[in-house]
Amino acid sequence: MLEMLSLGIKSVFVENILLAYFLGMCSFLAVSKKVTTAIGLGFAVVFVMAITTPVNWLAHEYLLKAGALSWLGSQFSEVDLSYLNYIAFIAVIAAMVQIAEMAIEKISMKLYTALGIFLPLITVNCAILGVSLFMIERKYTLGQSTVFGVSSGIGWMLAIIAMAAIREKLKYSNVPKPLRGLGITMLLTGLIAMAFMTFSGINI
Amino acid sequence: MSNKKTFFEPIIHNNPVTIQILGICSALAVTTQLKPSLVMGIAVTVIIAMSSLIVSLIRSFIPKKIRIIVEMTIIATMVILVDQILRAYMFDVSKQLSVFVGLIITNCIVLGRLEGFALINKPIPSILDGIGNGIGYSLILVVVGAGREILGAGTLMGYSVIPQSLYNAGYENNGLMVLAPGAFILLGLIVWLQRAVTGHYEEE
Amino acid sequence: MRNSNLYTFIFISIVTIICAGLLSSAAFYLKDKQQTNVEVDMKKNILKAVKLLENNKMSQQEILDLYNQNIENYVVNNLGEIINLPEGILVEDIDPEKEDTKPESDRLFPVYVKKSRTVVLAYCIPILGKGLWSTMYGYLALEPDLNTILGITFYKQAETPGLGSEVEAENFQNKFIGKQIWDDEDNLVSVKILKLEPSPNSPNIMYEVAGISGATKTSDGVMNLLLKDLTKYETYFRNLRKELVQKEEI
Repeated sequence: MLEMLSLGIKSVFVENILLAYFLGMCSFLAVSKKVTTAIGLGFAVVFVMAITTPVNWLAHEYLLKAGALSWLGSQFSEVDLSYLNYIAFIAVIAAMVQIAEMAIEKISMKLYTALGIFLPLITVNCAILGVSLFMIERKYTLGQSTVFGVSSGIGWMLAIIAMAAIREKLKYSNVPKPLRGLGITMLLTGLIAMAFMTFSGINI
Repeated sequence: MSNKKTFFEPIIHNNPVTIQILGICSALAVTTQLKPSLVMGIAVTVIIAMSSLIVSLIRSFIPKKIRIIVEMTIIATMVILVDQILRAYMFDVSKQLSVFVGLIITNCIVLGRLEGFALINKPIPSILDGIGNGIGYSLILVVVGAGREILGAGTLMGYSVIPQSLYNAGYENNGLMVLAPGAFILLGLIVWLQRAVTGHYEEE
Repeated sequence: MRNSNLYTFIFISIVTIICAGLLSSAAFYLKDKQQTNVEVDMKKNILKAVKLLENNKMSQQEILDLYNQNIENYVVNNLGEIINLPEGILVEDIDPEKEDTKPESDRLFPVYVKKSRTVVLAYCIPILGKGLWSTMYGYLALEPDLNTILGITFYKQAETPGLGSEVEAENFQNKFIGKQIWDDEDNLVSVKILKLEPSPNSPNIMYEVAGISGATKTSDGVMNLLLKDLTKYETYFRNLRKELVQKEEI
């Protein structure tokens, strides 16, 4: 239990998927203009991560990895489908995103239009595929993977909300015209990233 | 839009990285040196062109509801196929590329161009658009990669370019450039410069 | 028509079948060639670690010939005894990663020896372990005194390009050459990787190298995997070293 808690805290703060590993930048930069939209997208990412990570874990464990098919019978124990890892993971993610898209369209039309093209782009949010690949690489169990997926999603959400809050305040500053928007956001993210580098020394 | 414009516009004026805000994660992750930036740029250009062609060919058959899954499946298939072929015939190149395979699949430029262009245009313009965007993306990658390698390590393509006399005079490599904050700041400055030149302003 | 569920279902089935077919046939037809590439690459890296590979422009056949002429191999267990493998299994087939998951007494550890007739010129062992993102694979070669490092290579890793991936760079690997893994009291200390260049006055300079700047996690990974893998061979190496000392005394 304690181990799960520490894994959770670690993935939210110390090894924040966005600020320490720099995954999921595109939607982070593009959708962090308003706090409300950021919260909406944040929850969508948490939702998609919470489902895809355990599903991908099961797919890898029982279908894809070398020898995973041995439950079908001993003649299958040599089959190695791991070259299908990427495509299977991305298919699960794309399906989940499409479900999330339909759900958001039903629940809040306003959020749906605000998220626009970036909702489908969650599919290519590297953070989500990244989490699935990390959990394989780090050989997490099903429980650990789920905790890792959810807390990485929460970490990503925190980062985008923080950025959106800064950008809302930034409206009152006189930023040079060509620097407005993406330029100043990149510079700010650079500064936040530097601040987060100090977390990297913490061991929980 | 003429074919010529389709091809040249994404290279500077509608650059995928600095204007469309796509493909940032990989632009940060691989640009610590010039060489991986080049490899990544070429790989992405090839993949965008190929997937654009295929999606454009079958565009009138794709059901709207599941278009993202179909697009992702095509992208992932292309990427894995290219990787498999390279692994058999150009082993050294494939060893370089293996790191990027996941990053290419989740590179939002590819999905962004399929969604935004290939899905509604004929095959020839789609290929041109794909290649144009690929080159625009590579251009940014190469500039950032070269900048980070020179400032961070004092080398270019692995050869040292900063004269020893400068080091003797007290110059030191800037370690921050090799780390991610350096990438953010450099990219932010490039966006600033590019927008000051082209006059594309973003109103907050 | 295009929005009916049946159409959607049929369409996605066709796409799936075509893609799966393409990928499976590619994987199937290219498998042999890929495996040969991997095998040659492995042998090439063993040759590189023991400093037999002069240039990178050798053909696959030349590499295999060079390997067959100069390298002998066998496996040891965790008690340091040489084990005979069952018929049909080659030392090269032993996957150190799979061995790690077996119970300790069943594990087999491959040893590659560079020999000139009967004289041992170098010992080489596989090393592997986690860095920041990925598992790194490589070889470590020791001089016949089983103390001084002759060479180290990494051939497969997926660390951050330009930072952690520098483990594959020669100027990082060359830092290990000449370092020692046993201290004066005959404890296995392996090599310590520091954040900065070790100071020339440090009493432990024989056991220290500088890590890759900006890639602390990868450097720590290399340090941990070296100690972990050397520990596996500790008993065997200790026995060999005792024999060496006895020979000298005679």
